[in-house]
Amino acid sequence: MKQTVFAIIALLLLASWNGTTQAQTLTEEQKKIFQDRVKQKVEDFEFEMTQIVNTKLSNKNRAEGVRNLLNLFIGQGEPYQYNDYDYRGNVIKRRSTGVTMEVSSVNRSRTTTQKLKKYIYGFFNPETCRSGKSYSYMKVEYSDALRVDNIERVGDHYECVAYFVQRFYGYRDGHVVYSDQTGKKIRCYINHIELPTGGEIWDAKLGDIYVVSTERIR
Amino acid sequence: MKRMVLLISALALCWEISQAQTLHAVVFCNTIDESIGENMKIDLKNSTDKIRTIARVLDYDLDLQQLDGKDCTRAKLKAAIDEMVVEPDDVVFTFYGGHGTHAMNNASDPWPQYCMNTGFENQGNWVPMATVDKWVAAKSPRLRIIVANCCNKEQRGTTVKPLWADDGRAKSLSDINPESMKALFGVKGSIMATSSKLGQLSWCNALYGGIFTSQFWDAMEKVGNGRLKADWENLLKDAAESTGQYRFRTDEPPYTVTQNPYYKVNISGSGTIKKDNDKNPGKDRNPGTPLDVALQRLLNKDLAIETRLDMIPGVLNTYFAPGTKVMTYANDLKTVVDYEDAADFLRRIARSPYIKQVNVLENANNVIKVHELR
Repeated sequence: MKQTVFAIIALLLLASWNGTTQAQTLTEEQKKIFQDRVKQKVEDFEFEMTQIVNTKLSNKNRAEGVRNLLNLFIGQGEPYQYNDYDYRGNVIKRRSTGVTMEVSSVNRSRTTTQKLKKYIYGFFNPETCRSGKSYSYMKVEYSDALRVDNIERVGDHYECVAYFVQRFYGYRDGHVVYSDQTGKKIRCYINHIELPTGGEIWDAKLGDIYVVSTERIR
Repeated sequence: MKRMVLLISALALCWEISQAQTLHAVVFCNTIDESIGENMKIDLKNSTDKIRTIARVLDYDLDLQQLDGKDCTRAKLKAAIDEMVVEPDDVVFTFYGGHGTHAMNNASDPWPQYCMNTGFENQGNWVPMATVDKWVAAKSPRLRIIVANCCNKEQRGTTVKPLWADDGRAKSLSDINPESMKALFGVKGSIMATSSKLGQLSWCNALYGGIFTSQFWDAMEKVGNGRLKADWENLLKDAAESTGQYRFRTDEPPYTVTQNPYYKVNISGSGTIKKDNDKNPGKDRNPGTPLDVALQRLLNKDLAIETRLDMIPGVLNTYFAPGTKVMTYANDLKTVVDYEDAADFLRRIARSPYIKQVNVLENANNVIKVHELR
């Protein structure tokens, strides 16, 4: 079998010259791949939430859940730097104080926004192994209706939005004292990473989470 | 009497368990050749990963042999096939990636000769593809699949290798639908497919490995996710058409050539696909490297999550040098979808209820490349 220099001049795609140099533009096929990957990360987020709030699980399990969940997010829940653009298209380096979570309640008409880390630590703080909630038991469930919109280019990276529905139950003395169903959306980022070896790849991370709707569970 | 009934039941249970289908596979590639060795490493890695995935989806036991580099020899291949313990309901799959050739004036045999890991200096090491088919046919599996990615061009000095008996013709996690794969692998008969027809070269590159190989597995994936009807004719027609669309430039006339795979499908009916036990996933008789085994243990949902988390420090210290990173590839085995510290990777897969299997694609230079099946 010969391998000489050859040119692919027919219909199929021309790819990069080595396996870990993915071009600076995502192909349509790669966008679908990352749409799937974002979906998997949101599913992982949902799973870890169910573990973190579950007071029947061991502290070790819940602490690992917190660590895993934060790893899904840009900056791992801590402050991070990102590129923004002015009206001329010039890059401006900006700093975010950390991914945020918008929170709602059926008992309030307005929403509040807090840092994701603070929100998660409110359910279980891995440093103190305590919860900041007054419930004796909590449960979250997620519907199968997880949707990820098409990935769009924004400046030097790509973004998409994922939508999911969360049901929360708070118990005291074996009874549900609070429950709600909240539609949420999560902004996701696919950023370019340079590898220490000199190659380049894309990396998908989750970002800020917003409330779309909240209603009482009947 | 009661004891007799219990004994008979126990024997019946053992018999039933022992009747699980097995996918026997040999992936043999010339990974040490100066010109194509690196590209054949890609074929070896990709084909091994796909076969592992297929066995997992089908819930078959897996008996997998890899022969590369110095082990890619006629003798080792023959031994690997001879050692297979093949039951009537089993499937045998062989894949060769390397140089190939064809004897002059031997058009009655459309199939190439595999050069294995030697050149003209040792033609005794070469194996006709038809001979591989015969060796496998002699094991009487329900289905045999013989695939090659190699040239099929006549070269002076290539001698016709005798077949044992001259009857001339021996006569594909995430997105994969198990029912489609069962329909594909549940048939009875033989399939042979080679990357180029008689008189043609085959091509490869540093990204895809063998062009035909990558189109073959792409077609398998299309069957797996319902984009292609689950039968071998459709699969191979798709792979052949996709390969045939490439044009390759050469230094000599006609300066632009094509590559047209050649295949033959002989399906005589459907086999029986018994699923012996939902709770016992197919066993891997050649489970891979110790790292593969360790990763599979981390994914074993029969173990409590705390037990799996406790295993992580040991796995980390044993198999991951400090600073090792893990690169996770998508199903196309070309797109990297995750890049993380080894510890984060191990925690993530140990905790995930979705990840069924992790295949190690490559382990070198403090970077481990994997493909996860969900």
